[in-house]
Amino acid sequence: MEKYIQPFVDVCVNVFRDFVGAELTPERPHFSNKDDLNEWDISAVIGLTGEARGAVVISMKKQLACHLTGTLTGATHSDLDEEVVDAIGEIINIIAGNAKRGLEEAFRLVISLPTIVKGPGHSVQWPNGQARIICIPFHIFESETFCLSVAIEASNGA
Amino acid sequence: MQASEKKQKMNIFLSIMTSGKPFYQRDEATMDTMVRHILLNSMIFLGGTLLVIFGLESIKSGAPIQGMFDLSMAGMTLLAFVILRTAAPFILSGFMTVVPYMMLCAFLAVSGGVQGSGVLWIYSFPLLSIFLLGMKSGIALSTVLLFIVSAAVFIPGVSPMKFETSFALRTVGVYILVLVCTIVYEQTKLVKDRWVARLTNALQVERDEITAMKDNLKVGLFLINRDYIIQPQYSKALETVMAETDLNGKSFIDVLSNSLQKKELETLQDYFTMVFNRSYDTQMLEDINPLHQFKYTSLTGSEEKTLRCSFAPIDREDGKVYILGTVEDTTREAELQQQLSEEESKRQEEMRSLFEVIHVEPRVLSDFIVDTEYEFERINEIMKKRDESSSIVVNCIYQSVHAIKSNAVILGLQSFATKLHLLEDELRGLREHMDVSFQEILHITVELEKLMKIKDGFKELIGKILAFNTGDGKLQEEHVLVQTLERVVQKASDDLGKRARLTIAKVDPRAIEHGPRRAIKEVLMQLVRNSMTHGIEKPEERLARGKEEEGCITLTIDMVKDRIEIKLSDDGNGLDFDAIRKKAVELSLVGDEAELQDKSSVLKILFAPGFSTTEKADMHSGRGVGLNLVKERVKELKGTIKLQSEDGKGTVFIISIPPEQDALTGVQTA
Repeated sequence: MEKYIQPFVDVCVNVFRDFVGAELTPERPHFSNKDDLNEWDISAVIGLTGEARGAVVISMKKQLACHLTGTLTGATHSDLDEEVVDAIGEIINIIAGNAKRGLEEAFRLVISLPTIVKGPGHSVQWPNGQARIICIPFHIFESETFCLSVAIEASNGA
Repeated sequence: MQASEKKQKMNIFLSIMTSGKPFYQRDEATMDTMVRHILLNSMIFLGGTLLVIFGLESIKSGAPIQGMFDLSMAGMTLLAFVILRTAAPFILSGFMTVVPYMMLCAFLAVSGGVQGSGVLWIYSFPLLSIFLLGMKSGIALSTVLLFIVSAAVFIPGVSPMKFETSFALRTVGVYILVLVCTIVYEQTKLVKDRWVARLTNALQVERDEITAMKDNLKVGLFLINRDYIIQPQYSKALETVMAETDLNGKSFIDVLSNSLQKKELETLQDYFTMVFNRSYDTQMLEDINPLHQFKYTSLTGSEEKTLRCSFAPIDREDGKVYILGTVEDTTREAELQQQLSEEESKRQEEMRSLFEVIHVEPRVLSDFIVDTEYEFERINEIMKKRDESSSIVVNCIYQSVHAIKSNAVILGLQSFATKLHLLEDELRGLREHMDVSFQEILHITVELEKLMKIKDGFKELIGKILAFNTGDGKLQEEHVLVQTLERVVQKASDDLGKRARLTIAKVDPRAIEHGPRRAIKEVLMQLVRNSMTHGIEKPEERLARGKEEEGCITLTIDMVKDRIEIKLSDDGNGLDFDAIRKKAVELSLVGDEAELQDKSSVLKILFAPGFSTTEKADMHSGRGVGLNLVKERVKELKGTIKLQSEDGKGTVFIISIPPEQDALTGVQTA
């Protein structure tokens, strides 16, 4: 399953380096429960189907979302306004696009367009009966973090 | 130099005679046309020269009109020579030459010549005209000449010569005979030509069909000779299947040199010899075919394919035997086959693990699941700690996985235990290097997730099983503990070839109720296993020492002054201090044996991580986790360990721990 996860990690590192100019370090992964409450303010969901099914979610706090938007546009933001959501959506689009290129060539996979979810403490309805989700925290800008959560399972026969 | 000059002259001569048209000497199809060209050119030279001579003579002898006519005829033949060298049709030059030649013949016949021999020329005419101009035109011109000659020989006054009637009849008769013979000959030739053309056509159609089939065949088809050389007429698919181009003339053995070992290639050559010699029947040859299925990589190093070849001997017209080979790409087929067998073995493994699961007492299994979940939670907690170093995290995961594995082994969950064992091996490898990369830790995470999925499966299963046996005979906590430990003893006895029993001296239910049940179980399992591996001797050894054949491990769990006291004793060999010292130096845990003179420092080593006197790690012990784990757990519980050992008599572990905080609040706060 790493073979599906690792490309997302690599793409995140590359996209943030090339477009935001920030060096990312993936931290030690851990598990989180499907029903665990989370403290994120904005999430992007990228669906996967084909030889493996599931979803990859990138979640972050408002503060980081504003910081990233600031880095991209130069303006200061303090709230999750339309411009912030657009900016985050753009980064996620690039990530999904790059991941699509790599994964769809190497595996029999189809990657969906990303969907953005926002709101304090929102929850993501995970597909398939997966009980656990693997979370990979990323360290960015001195002390901020965002999280790449993955729930993928190999589909039988498909 | 001379040779080349000669050759050049020859070439010029050839070019003149064949009008510079490209003819290949070997090509029999164009031979006919070449001969016609040479003949026509010869006629042009002969007839032209004669016409020029006659023309000049006529002018000299005072017949200028006659002379001019002859010369113009000669000019026409010369023109025909030039036209013949262009792309203009052959028939044009043919007419331009044959008509003057007819005139010439007519003139010679009419003029008579020496003793009337001029008529002799006419006999060549039907042959030449029909050969060069074809049936219709040839016959027409020959007939015209026949009339002219007839007029000359029969009608007096037409020719200056006077011909006898009998001579005239013979002259005309022979001419007609020659003409008829030529017609018959030409007709026969035409029929034959048509037949050949039809045959060629049929062959062409047939060959096209075969080529079409060969080129559209999905299977590579080829012939090889005695030297294993691939013959030119192989099917197109061969190049695709073998991922090579220009296979013509290559050795089939060489083409396979990237895919087969030297030995296999030799076997293949032996096999080819058998095919050439027809040593066995077709079925037999197919059965022993070494290339029935093999992994193929082309010489250019394309990706690996699975191919299937078959071979059969073929007789060719030249009396030589060839091998007809077919080669098919069966990669997809092989992949499916493999997938199928993988799924089959997966299913079998599932069945096996299902049987393993239903063999375990459901209450004990639930206990195992709870323990496993607890260990997993522990792992996850430490994984979440960002500031913890990777090596500590790996070590912690390692210990927990080991603990889960030990439990799985006890319960006889072999397939689950094997998976845990593999992960444990990987973790041990990681523990040895300081830096653990993200990829490695991600891999471990994914593997853990897989294991947890299996656990989820157990949980689901146990839920179903428990739904069947409702309530009947619920085991008490202490019974679960005792039963588990008995399983440890049983399992270890079987695997180590020892005999032992577990005797329960006393188990105070309060201790179990208020104590950290899981930790107690874990610690006891490690200690019992330790006793079984290192304490209890083999039956024959015990008999030799005058002990009972069956070893005895005694367990006491009691409440002593509000503390839980666990005592586990065995009547084994006791601690072998010398062996421990030696091993400690070997594992570089201490610099020198001298450092371990007093027994208490030896005991410290015994509980150190990574220490084990067993040479090889197996499912039971030898990784040096056991006693280290005991120490860690007891430390966490704020307890103490005492160890008594008497050489040859046995070892006693005494562990004292406080009861759980919330259980005895009143007592504890006092």
